[in-house]
Amino acid sequence: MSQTDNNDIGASLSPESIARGHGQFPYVIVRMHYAIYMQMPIHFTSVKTEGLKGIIVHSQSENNCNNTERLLEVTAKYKQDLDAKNNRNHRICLVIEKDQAYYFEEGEIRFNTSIPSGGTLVNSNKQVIAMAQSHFIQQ
Amino acid sequence: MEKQLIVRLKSGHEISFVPNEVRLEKSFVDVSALLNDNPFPLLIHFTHELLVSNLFLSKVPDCVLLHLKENFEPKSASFCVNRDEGDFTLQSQCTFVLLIPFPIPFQLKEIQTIYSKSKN
Repeated sequence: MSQTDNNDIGASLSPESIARGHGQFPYVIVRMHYAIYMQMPIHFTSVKTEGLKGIIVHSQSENNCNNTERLLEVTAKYKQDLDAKNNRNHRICLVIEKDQAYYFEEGEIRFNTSIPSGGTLVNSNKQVIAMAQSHFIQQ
Repeated sequence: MEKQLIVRLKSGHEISFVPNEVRLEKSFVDVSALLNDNPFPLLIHFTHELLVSNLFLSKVPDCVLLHLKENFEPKSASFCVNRDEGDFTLQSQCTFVLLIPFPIPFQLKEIQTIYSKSKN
């Protein structure tokens, strides 16, 4: 994690986390507990790539990030697998932009212009990668 | 009670929108100004009895307009993609126009039905 400005409370994403794909749209947020979120970067690869953490989508298309329909399919499959693996219903969110998100909750997919923010953000290894900050890279 | 508009796709997925609904008795609307206080997704409900409504779309962020009948059955769609300065106006014959920001999460041809339900 990187320390933020002295006037801010919390810690933003570190360059190491960003290099692993965190903080870049689109991504998936899994609500672990109250105010604890896991961020899963979505990696689109045309060839098998070792070492990537997150949701890996093998695709030859060059326009995946703008293909929201495809992203919804990928997220729905990810949720299905996660729910089956942990035998419980997870609340997850596909974040497309800083003002566009799709929440997968209570059996429906719900659009909202408000995206998850703040709290404690962890990676797929449950390591804390940000606290009380935005979940995306601030330009 | 909030109104939900649910887009049911042929794939079986249902995507829910809780729109900011604006009722208008007039037949001309400056959508850009409307969006200042009512962000996407925006549902415009025309209550006048004229045959067509005019939507002034200049300076509106890229979005899709779904033209819906009184029972929310989709009738047609328009793409609003502003690239240059200039006036851009669209006409609609429908009671409801739902504006969803780009990129939209489905192909228009994949829409099976659209329906409304209220939720606490």
